[in-house]
Formats: sequence, C-alpha cells, structure tokens
Amino acid sequence: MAFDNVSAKSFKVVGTRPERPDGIEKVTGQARFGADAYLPGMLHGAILRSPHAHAKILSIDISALENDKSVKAVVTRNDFECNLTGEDWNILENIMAGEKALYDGHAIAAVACSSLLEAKDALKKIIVQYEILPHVTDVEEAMKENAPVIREGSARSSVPKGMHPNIVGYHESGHGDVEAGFKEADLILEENFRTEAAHQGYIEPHACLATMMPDGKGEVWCCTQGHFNVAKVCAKLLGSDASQIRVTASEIGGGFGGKTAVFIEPVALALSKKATHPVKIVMSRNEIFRATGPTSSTSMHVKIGMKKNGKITAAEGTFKLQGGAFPGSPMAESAMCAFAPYELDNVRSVGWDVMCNRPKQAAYRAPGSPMAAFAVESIIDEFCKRLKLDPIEVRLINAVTEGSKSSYGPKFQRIGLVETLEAAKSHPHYAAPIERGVGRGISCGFWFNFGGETCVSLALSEDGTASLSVGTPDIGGSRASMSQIVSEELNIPYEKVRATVADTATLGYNEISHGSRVTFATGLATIKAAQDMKKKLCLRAAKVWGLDEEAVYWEEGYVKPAGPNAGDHEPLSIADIAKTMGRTGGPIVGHYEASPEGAGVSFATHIVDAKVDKETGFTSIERYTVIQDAGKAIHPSYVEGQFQGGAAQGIGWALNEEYIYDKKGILQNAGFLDYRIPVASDLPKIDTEIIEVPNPGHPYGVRGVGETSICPPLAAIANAVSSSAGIRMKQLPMSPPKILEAMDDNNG
Amino acid sequence: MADVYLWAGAKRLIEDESPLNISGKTVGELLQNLVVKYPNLKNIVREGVSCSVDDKLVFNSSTETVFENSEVYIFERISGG
Amino acid sequence: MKKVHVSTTINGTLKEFLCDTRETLLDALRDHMLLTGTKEGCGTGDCGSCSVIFDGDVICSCLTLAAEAEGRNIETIEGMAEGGELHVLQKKFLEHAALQCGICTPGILMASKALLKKNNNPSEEEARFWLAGNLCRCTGYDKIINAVLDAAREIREESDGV
Repeated sequence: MAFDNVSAKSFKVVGTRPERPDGIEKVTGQARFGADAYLPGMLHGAILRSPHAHAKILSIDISALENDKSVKAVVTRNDFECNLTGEDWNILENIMAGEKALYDGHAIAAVACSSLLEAKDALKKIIVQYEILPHVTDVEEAMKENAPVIREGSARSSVPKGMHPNIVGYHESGHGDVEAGFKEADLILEENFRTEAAHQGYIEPHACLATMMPDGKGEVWCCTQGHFNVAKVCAKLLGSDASQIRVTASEIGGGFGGKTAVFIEPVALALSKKATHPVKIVMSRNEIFRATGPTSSTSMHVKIGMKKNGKITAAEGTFKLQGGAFPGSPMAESAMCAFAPYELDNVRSVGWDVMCNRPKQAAYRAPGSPMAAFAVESIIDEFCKRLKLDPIEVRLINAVTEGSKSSYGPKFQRIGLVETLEAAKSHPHYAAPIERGVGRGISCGFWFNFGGETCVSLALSEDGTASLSVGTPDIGGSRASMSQIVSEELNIPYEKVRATVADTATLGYNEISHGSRVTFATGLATIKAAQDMKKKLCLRAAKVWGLDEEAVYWEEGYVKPAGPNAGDHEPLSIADIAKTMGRTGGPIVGHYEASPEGAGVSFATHIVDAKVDKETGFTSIERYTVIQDAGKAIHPSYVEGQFQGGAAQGIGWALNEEYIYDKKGILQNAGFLDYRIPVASDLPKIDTEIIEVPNPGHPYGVRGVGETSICPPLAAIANAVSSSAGIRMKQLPMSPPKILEAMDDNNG
Repeated sequence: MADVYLWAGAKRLIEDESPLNISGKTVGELLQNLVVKYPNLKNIVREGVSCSVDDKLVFNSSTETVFENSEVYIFERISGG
Repeated sequence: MKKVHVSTTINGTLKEFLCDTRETLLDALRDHMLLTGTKEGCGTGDCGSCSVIFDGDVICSCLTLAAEAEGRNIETIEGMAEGGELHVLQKKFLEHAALQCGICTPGILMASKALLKKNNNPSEEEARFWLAGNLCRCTGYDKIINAVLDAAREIREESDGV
C-alpha cells in the first residue's frame, strides 16, 4: 500500500472550526503559562541591569551580599562558559555582560532569594563601577567614520574591506541592468524612508523555573517558541549537555518571534546550581522592553522607474538595519522581500547589517519584510497618484505568478498574489464609496515561510483514540489544527485526539516555532505519522488474519481484506485493532521525523481606509480588510486570527509604536503606557478573506500564514494617510506630532 | 553539472561569471565542491547559506537532491519569526 | 519585617493569608493562594491581564496592595465557571475562537463580566471602550468583541425568557 502519495482531496475535518483542545483551561484560568509554575523550596531570581547605553564594567562588588542571609546565590559572567564562539558567544554576551555594558538594560549580575522583594532589595546592594563610553543608537550615525565602536571583529566575511567595525553584514541580490532599466522609464521616483524599532509586545513576560543540580542535570519550565533550542543554548552556556537539560514548554502567552531567543533560562539555571534550589525568574515589562529584542530600526532608500502604463522598468533599494549590539539584523530578508511581489527585468537590492547600543534585535513576524514593503509600496502608491493609475491594476500589471523570476533569484512555484489582488478588486471594501476626509490605501506583502527539523509521535490508545506528541510550542492554536489532521487521516472524531507539546526528553529535536512553520512542517509530520500508523494498523490486521500485507487495505477508518480475500473477514476498525494490540504484537505508534523543505511562499493584499485629523494629526483606522493566500486553511478561525493579529500589530507599528532613546541612549518608554500598542477602541473590525492556492510542497497545500499578515499594513496605512491628508509619510511611526510636522512642511 | 547562481554580494568574491558549473548529487555535495573550486567562498558558506533547487526553496537540508541540469540559486541563510 | 494578616472573601470563600506590606494583591493571589489564573503582564496597570472584580468593580490587582483586600469581596477567573458549568462568556470565547495565546483571556473575561453586569446590551463601541484597558496582542480584538456581544445577546435572551 502506498500511503505516501495519498492526499485527501475532499476534507471532512480539515477546514472546519472545532473548539480548541486547550480552550477550557484557558478560559478558566487553569492553563499554566511560564510564570505559573511553583516548586517546593523555590527561590526567586532578579537581574541587575546597566543604567548606561555603553560603558566599561570596571568592577562588580557583591561583598555587601556575602553576609546577607536572604541571598542564596549571586551570579555574574564568571559563572558561565568562557570558551564560546560565534552565535553562542553572542547569546551569552547578550544575556550577561562581559567587559562592557552594551545597551541600557544589559544584564550585569543576578541574585536568588526566598522572595522577589528580597531579591530586588539585594540588587540594590551590588555596587558596579562603570566607565561611561560614547554610544550610538541610530543606524546612520553608527555607520559613520567617527562612530563609537561597539565591538571590533564582528563583521561577516561578506562585508567589503575597510568598512566601519559596526557594519557587520552586507547583502546584494538582483539581476538585469538597473541603469538601462531606469533609462526606459517614463517616470523615476526615489525616496529615503526610516522606521523605528517596534517590540513584539507579547503580553506574557518571559518567565522560567529552573533547577540545576551540581552534577549538571537540569530541568527548565519556560515560555518559549522553541524549547529544544533552549536546552541546546543552556547546555552551551553552562557547559552541560543538551540531553542533560530537560526543557518543558509552558503555555506561551504570545511570541511573534520574540520568544525564539533565550534570555533568562541560563541565568536561572546558573543561580539554581549555586543555590541547589529551584529558581524562578519572571521579567518585568520594563526589562522586556529594555533587554529583549525588538525588531530592527531602519534607514532605507528606494528608487523605481515606471512606464506611463504602470509597468516597472527597474527597481533599486538599499536597506540599512541596526540589530542592536550584535550582528544578525534581518537586512538580507528586507532586501530579498522588498521587490518579491513584482516581476522585474532589472532589480538590485542591497542590505547592511549595523550594530548600535541597543538590545540584540529578535525576530518579529516576517523579520525585515514589513519595513521594506513600507518603502517599496509607498513609492508604488506615489506612482499611482502621479500617473493616475489604479493601485490594484498597477500591482496586477507587475505581479509575479508561477514561473516568474523572483527578485532574489529562483523562479516562483505556484503562488497566489494575483488571486489576492483580484479578490481585493472585487471586494465590497474596494468598491465602497470613500467618505470625505478618508483615504484608502493598498499594499501587497510577501514572506517566505519555513520548514525545518520536525519530529512527532502518534500513539494509539487501547480504546482506539490517539495521542499526538509534537515538539513545536503552540503559539496560535496548532494543537487544534494538528488534532484535525489526525482526525482527518484516521477517521476518528476530533475529540478523540489529544495533542500535547512534549518536552525535550520525549521527542527528537524540533526546530523553533518560527517562520510560520508549524502548520506546514508539524502538520506535514502529523499527516505522515498518521499514515505510518495506518500502515502499521494494516500490517497488524493482516497478521491477525494470516494474510500478506498486500492483501489488506485501509478505507474510511477500517482495515479490510482485499481482492480474493474480500468477505472472508469482517473489516477491523481502529478500535478493534487497538483493543487487542497488546496480544497481537504490542503498542502501535506512528512516527515521523525529517527536515521538510518546500514551505510555500505567501502573499497578501490589504485594503485600509484611514482618516487623518488635520487639527491633531491623529490617524484613525476606519475600515480594514486582509486578503491572504493560506494555501489551505486547516482551522479557518485561527487563520483569520493570524490575519487580524498581524494587521493589528502592523497598525500599531505604523501609527504609534517606537523605541524612543534620549541623548544618553536610555530608553524613554519602557512600558505599555508610553509604548502604546493598539487597544480595542483604536481598531475597527478587521475583515478577512482567505485565499487558497495550494502549496505544491505540502500534501494538503498548506502555506504558513502567521507572518505575511504584518507585511502590508505599514505601507497600506501610509498610502491611506497620503490620500487622506495629502502628505507622503517617509518615517514611522506616523504619530500625531510627525503627521503635523509633515503637514507643516507641506504647507510651508 | 548544475548551474549555480550566487547572490550578487557573494559573486564579488570570485572572478567567474554566473552560472557556475558545479557537480554534486545533493545540496551538501554541491556546496562542498563549490568551496573546493572557489576557496574565497569558504567563509560565506560556513556562515550559512540557503538555496533553491529548481525553484524549490531549500533553507537548511544538505541532503536535498540536485540533478544533472538543476538550476541552483544560493543566497544568505534567512530565518523567520 | 512583620507581615500583615489579611482576611478576605475570594470567589465566595473566606480566605486568610500573611503578606508583606509592599506586596500587591496580584502577588498574594498568585503566590499565597496559588490562584495563578490572574496574570501579570506589566505590573503597572497598563495591560489589564491582572483584572479582578473587587467589591463589584474591575480593578488591576497589580496596582492594589494585598493588605487592601481586608474584608473585601474578590472575584477571580477561577470563580467564573460554577458547578461544572462554564459562564456564557467563557462558552462564547471558545465558540468564537476569541483567544489565540490566552494570556489576556482571564483579564478580558473578568472585565467583560463586569461590563455585562452593568450593561447587558452594550454597543460594539461601548464594548471596545470598556475593554480598552485590556491589551491583547494576538487577535486584533475582532473575535473578542464578537464573543462579548454574542454573550450579551444570550444573557438578554435568558433574562427575557424568565
């Protein structure tokens, strides 16, 4: 029986909207998140952080704590491994400063006490002597010849020789002859754009409870997007083995990329090892803003040439991204995503990775893509206004389809950009009359999506129900969609499947829940594990009947005898086989482990109506529609939720959210009062339309959906603001003071 | 031999024009042979690359099959949120 | 340091605990009572994750001292479902997929419960403004508002039916 090529053409369970399996725990307060774990003898950890943006650490005096009975352990950089290199060193340097404090909020030391109040008191008794150094927090300033040097020797080999040491990465991609392309254009537009860093803003603080015994065995409970990665990083930083540190992923209260990074778990383990007690660390919101990764801030330049009919003749962009005091900003992603929606004969994209005195940037939903789309899609909109062209038509004229050469190199496989644009064109929102003072904006967006190491296990219970163990933390309802897939494949009711996120000792390594990979990769693995189980069920039935494997087949939840044996035996249900499996050969478990590739890229088109109050500069979002290609929506409610959530985060980034540093490089708005994310009364209903252009790389056609939704909003809103107020905003956020300034400039 | 195209940033490090003709039955073999032929690319490959093989994106797998006439684009390792 | 003795009613049951004078009600609920359904998102009264009902009003338990709970009546998420039956708001949140990660859900449910007690027929705008103190980063609020309005409708129908 060949199960590999079986794909369910018509679905019974996939595409429906059952209640999520973890729902009741979450509406009754029983779900256990990162901070909700307690252990006997547990201590509370707290971290001392640098009040300076850039300073040499001359000394850390902990003598006042030595006779303090409340203090059970103190750790500094000396308590971690000292021979690390590459990204391991970067992570350690970021979570506990070495010779220098590199940004406001950089961890310097940590203590563990019986209560959090005692721990906070103890921190005040640590005396740190600093030599304050010149600092830089702006990406353009950091590239200048006389800019303070964050660290020598961090540049990747791609960086041309002779650049400032803060410039640590260089990317260039494209094809054709850009100069020749510009000569063909009827109109050329070019502009500089800036975006500020935005934080992922997950509501749940980073939290962990860790135990490490003197023999190096550790246990960690934490909220993370990737607990296998936590085990790996902790082992490296503490000189232990990944297999000796068992990590259990708690329920996770939002991540959006920000919880792919490791911050406090190694610190809690180091404290625990010294105290020989479990240690819990929960970050405060102030610490989250100052010391965990927001996305990069950017400075960008984009130049596009267009024919009068809307055809783009050439496009060129430079994307400078600062990634905090470490290499790794998503500048290559910016450069590669910037022009991806368009079929271009001549295109060139350059990215620069720059270090500043800011926290190490962390991934944030389609890292790098939204900012690049802001720049490119703003210019496309400007062309539409100047050449009096319809914004959807112009995008359709240039849109990539199957077989188009992408701006980053290869040709596209089957994709759904045109479908999203056509759906936008015929959407009631696009046809609706525009009220006076309101502007309508359109933007497209692109994201790659990922696969990666994945391992699942599907165990049959004696009553014919199934337990699925996955290794990817459930950040948006994936246990529901995985249960649907098992139900679909095995023909058992959705409620008879229990999906669990297993700990690191239970399954093989699973890549982090990132890159919109879970429904694609864990979903693929779950399909294959269910098919493996079906194969084993067939074998078992054949054995019971004394037939060859080929003499039985699977149909609609039953194993049946085939061909000449048909009718000789009553078909066996899963439950029938399960009931006797202990006597017929033992437990039946389906497995799958692989690193699936073939995650389909995805596109979205957003429509937004916005109104700028010309007195106050305040922009209100009047109507919002998200249209995105999901490939195949397993649980449409959670796909819609991803669309809406991405749009809402994009609205916040476009209008309000920004990191504000003062002249000393100190973050001025490290709290939700001053870093204002959208609240319920800021937003209208966010309408969604799911497009399903199947991904050829997945048996059901699934594409990742989590990230693409944040790519179009920045530009879509800027384009709506332009229509409403007659100003082209080149800087984010478009907060009231900046809108007023732009209107003044326009009038002056 | 597969036709191998490098991203422009990497192309600067070698003198040959794309496409490069590189042999290898898998992505891993192909990258090894690439570095043997162009030692200047060693660091860039070590720092992490992704690629596409006949338009299928291959972010990480070194065992992905490469055919005699495959078109392989190599670009910097990218990751998601 | 001497601790303060507090007697308070939590979800209808009289409870007693000892707390530091600096301790918040949120920490007392979580650390002393192990009622961890009430969440900390910011500790500064900006996010609403720690919303509880305190003598009938929604408050941020992170801005309230534990000692202030003396003699009060406190409702938390753990008291919302009664007798094995989910509250209509809880049912509607599940039905409308009004949660993604679920960390803000207890606070939003408590705030919504207080809203529907005061006004069982809120407009969409009233619901959005009432919940403006409860941050959700996952959903864009759309499905939350749908769930609250649908729960209000069901509450009205039930009370009309009596």
